[in-house]
Amino acid sequence: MSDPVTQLEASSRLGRWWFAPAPPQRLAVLRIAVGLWSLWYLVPRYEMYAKIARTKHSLYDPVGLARVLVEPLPPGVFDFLQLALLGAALLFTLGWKHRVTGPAFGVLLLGVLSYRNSWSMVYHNDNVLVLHGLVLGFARSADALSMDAWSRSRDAGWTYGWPVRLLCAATVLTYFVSGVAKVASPLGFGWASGDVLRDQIAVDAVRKRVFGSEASDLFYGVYDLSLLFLFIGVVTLVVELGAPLFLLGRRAPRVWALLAFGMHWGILLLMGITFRYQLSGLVFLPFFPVERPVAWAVDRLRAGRSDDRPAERTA
Amino acid sequence: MDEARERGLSILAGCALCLAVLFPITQNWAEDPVDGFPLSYYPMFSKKRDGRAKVYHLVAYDAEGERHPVSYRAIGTGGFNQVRRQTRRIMRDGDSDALCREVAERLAESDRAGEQALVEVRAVVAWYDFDAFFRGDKTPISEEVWGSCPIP
Repeated sequence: MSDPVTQLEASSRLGRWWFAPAPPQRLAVLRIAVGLWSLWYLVPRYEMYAKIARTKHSLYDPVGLARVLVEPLPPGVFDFLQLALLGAALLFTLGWKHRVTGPAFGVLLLGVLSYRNSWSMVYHNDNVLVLHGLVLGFARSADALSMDAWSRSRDAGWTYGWPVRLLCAATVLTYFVSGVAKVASPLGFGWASGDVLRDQIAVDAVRKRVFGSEASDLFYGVYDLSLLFLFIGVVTLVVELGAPLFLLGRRAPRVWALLAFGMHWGILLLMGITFRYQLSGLVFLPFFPVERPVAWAVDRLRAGRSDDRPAERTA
Repeated sequence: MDEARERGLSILAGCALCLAVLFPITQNWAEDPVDGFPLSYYPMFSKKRDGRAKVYHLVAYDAEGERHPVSYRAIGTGGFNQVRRQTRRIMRDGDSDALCREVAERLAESDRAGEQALVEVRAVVAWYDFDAFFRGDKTPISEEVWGSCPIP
């Protein structure tokens, strides 16, 4: 009990939270969910990303990992990286040779999506997916429900707990940063009055209209309802600025996850903006004991099989 | 690896990632803020608009002089917001006429019913008033034409 890390764990609430044990299946379910989601998201976009990589060089404005590239990559190299990412995503999902394929998936996801966002527009809806991919890629997320764990089982432990806490922390902090940007504007907490939010939704709708995209019809109907935008503004600041405070409670993180999930559906209805990873709810899975439904399904399957055996013998 | 060392590393990794996610907050007070990926300061909903918006976009006209929006799909690739940002950048770089020529060629080859009747494309910087716009008047309150090209 003499080393500082053990002392931190024993003496502070934060330490006990960080090192609380979790079953390896929880991290494994998150790995599979993020892996499958990445494949679902990236495969249909392969052609579009390939076209983006062939955009005029004058529009190249590197962000993230792409900042190491002063000039755009030859398109063929980017196509290869996309294929490598898809291969890594498949192996990451299956949990095969995770010590290599996990980090490879995380870094390739960061690299390919950085490059995709380096053409004058950053799509913020990819941010948390990349952070989750990196954490799960480098953590021991294939010690259960994987090809690596085919013939061995692991007990719950702190090594499976802290990556889940880190996924939750990274998620709430992105919302907190977003909230700070709102109150750091000249209006300060007056941002919550609703006028700024309504104007933001309005400019998005105008742009969509003049660029032939689809804006939400609902916004046209509620444009004059000032109280509605006041309510949405206050809830938004509570969800975003209050996000880190929700993290330390027992049930509070799940309450926050449900509020944030609802907020994204509200954004979709009012603005027609699809934050896909958030709308799917996958971004909030680390807040829940996601291994339980899987364990329940496995138990049901086993029970079904053992029920069949006597009947087979009798027959 | 011994357990104490592994625990220490988990704390280091956790602190590093959390600080990295928080670090872009400093951009809110920077003179020339820069957004990043995947570490962003999420500036998109914080700007004060005062009920009006300035939009760089393309507009097409048919033979009767009727005004039509030009779809982002006819302008570029990568989604609506990426095309919008690229349009603004190209126009600010002084290439509005070249952009109009490119889009005019694409519209000329288009087999979409609405796009076949178009005769001219213009690159415009337009101001829209939200109250007027959302109460039915979709025309800009003011507009500058930065480039144009007939559709062959």
